[in-house]
Amino acid sequence: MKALFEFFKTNWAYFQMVLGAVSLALLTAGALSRKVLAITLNTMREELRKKVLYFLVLFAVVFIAFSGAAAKVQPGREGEAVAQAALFVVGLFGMLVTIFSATAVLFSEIRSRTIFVLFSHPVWSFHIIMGKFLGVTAIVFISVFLMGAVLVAYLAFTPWLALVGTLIPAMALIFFQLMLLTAMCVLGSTFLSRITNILLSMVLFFVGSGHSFFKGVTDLMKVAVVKYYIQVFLFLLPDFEKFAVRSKMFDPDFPFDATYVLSAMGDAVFRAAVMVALGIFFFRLKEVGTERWE
Amino acid sequence: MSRNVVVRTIDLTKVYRTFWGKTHVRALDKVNLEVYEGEIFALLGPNGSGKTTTMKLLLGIMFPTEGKVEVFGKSPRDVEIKKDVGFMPEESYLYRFLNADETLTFYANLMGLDRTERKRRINEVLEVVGLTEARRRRTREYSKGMSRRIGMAQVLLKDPKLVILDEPTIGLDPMGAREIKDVTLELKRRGKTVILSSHLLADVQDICDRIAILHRGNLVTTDSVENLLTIEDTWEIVVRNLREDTRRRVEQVIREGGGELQSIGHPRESLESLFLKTIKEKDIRG
Repeated sequence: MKALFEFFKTNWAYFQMVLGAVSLALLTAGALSRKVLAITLNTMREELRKKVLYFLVLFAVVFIAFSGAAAKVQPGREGEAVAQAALFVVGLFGMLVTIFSATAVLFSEIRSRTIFVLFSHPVWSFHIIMGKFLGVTAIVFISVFLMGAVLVAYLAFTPWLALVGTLIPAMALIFFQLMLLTAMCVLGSTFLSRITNILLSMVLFFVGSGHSFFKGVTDLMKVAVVKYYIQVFLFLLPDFEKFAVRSKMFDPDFPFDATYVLSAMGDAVFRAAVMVALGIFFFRLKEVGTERWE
Repeated sequence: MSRNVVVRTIDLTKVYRTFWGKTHVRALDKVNLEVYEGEIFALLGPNGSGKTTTMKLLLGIMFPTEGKVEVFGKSPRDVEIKKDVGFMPEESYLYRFLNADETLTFYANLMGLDRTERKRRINEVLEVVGLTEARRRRTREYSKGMSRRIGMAQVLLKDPKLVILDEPTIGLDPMGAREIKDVTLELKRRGKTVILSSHLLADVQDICDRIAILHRGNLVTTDSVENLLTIEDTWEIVVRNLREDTRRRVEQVIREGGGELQSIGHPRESLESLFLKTIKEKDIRG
């Protein structure tokens, strides 16, 4: 038993990659369903018509364009400072796009009562939740891609173009972080009101982004029962911190290699798949339309 | 001859509770209904009587607190039976960012129709509901009548065995209402079962075979329109080209026979029929 535990501990990164690959295969299989694809495309269409999305991405683009100002903060390491500032902007605005889109998709379907007609068609909760998740994930991908493209275009006019090689995996990690956040918001929308979902998602994202800090604080705790429950909570809560590598990626001691990136992606895909599965389960139990009783 | 039961509710009860679990409203209380294949069945009742709740339970959107609902002998949550159920809600709940074509394509994809079949059926139903010209306009630009017609189009697209219509004619002008009633009668002619809810009694009387009257969640009565509306001890004779002296003689005969003459006069056309005729004549004259 101990040997098995040690084996998993040693090879945890590879284990995450395998779990991620299996989860990705399952999600892809689900996405191939025509009904899921129809709901995905409809979700994308709905989100793409929201002006707030364009404003957020536009703001991000403006901030990225001005990230050159960060060069003055770290003389001698100007390129790194610019890259860190730009990644911070991508992460922040990506988070806002994700939370406002992912908490809205199911809510707007219920509020506009289009869900009644949807339910009169031969669709499972699986089709609806998967379609909503994939639709928002696609929107998040487009947003991150656009912001990334602007960043690369900006760097092309600076002496720091060589940093693009490091920035691409960092941007990919941000996308996977946001995909995980999307799954969390979609799960929340199956049993929470929208405002509660927004607030809770932001709090959990904040706590998950300070994972190592909160883990350190927990280790100092004296009351064993409280310590145990917080450790369980931190284990279950996605470690969003591992995807935000902007402050560590230029540190030569930080192992920012393919294994790190792939295992983090694997962890994100696996956790997202679990959350989507839970969302499908909760949505199946959900009653909609109980607010009126004519 | 026994008729096939399409929908059956057994002691169907729905209680809405507050967040703290206290009973807020008993929307339905032990309602027992049977709807048979090929009939138009109406749920009648004032606002708050439980009509829409019954429909939501039939669609599996909500769950009964007690009792049972069966649609084609199965739970309404069963996805298999949803292939045979079409629903047009009270207001046409549409994706406002889609046009008629995109809306119907979306629903056709949910039904798993292939490309050729999808195109053929969409063209066909848009023609039936008269929206071919407006197929590329966003549904948010549609009038209430057009929205209702696109709602009906998504029902027809499915060609279901059971059609559920929630207040199908409410808010429509007489012509729009007549069109919806004609489509409903056409569905019956094609062997479909239709359940509709309404509080527009004239519409129900026009097209329904049987009705159920709900009040405060209780089923008050259910029977055929014929049985419920026929006044057994009263007779009506409609005659054309009756001479005045003959009319007087008929009145005399009735009195001599012990009958109580309640009214005699010229029958009136319904306002709906007069309106539709006038508009039609105007259209013909241009």
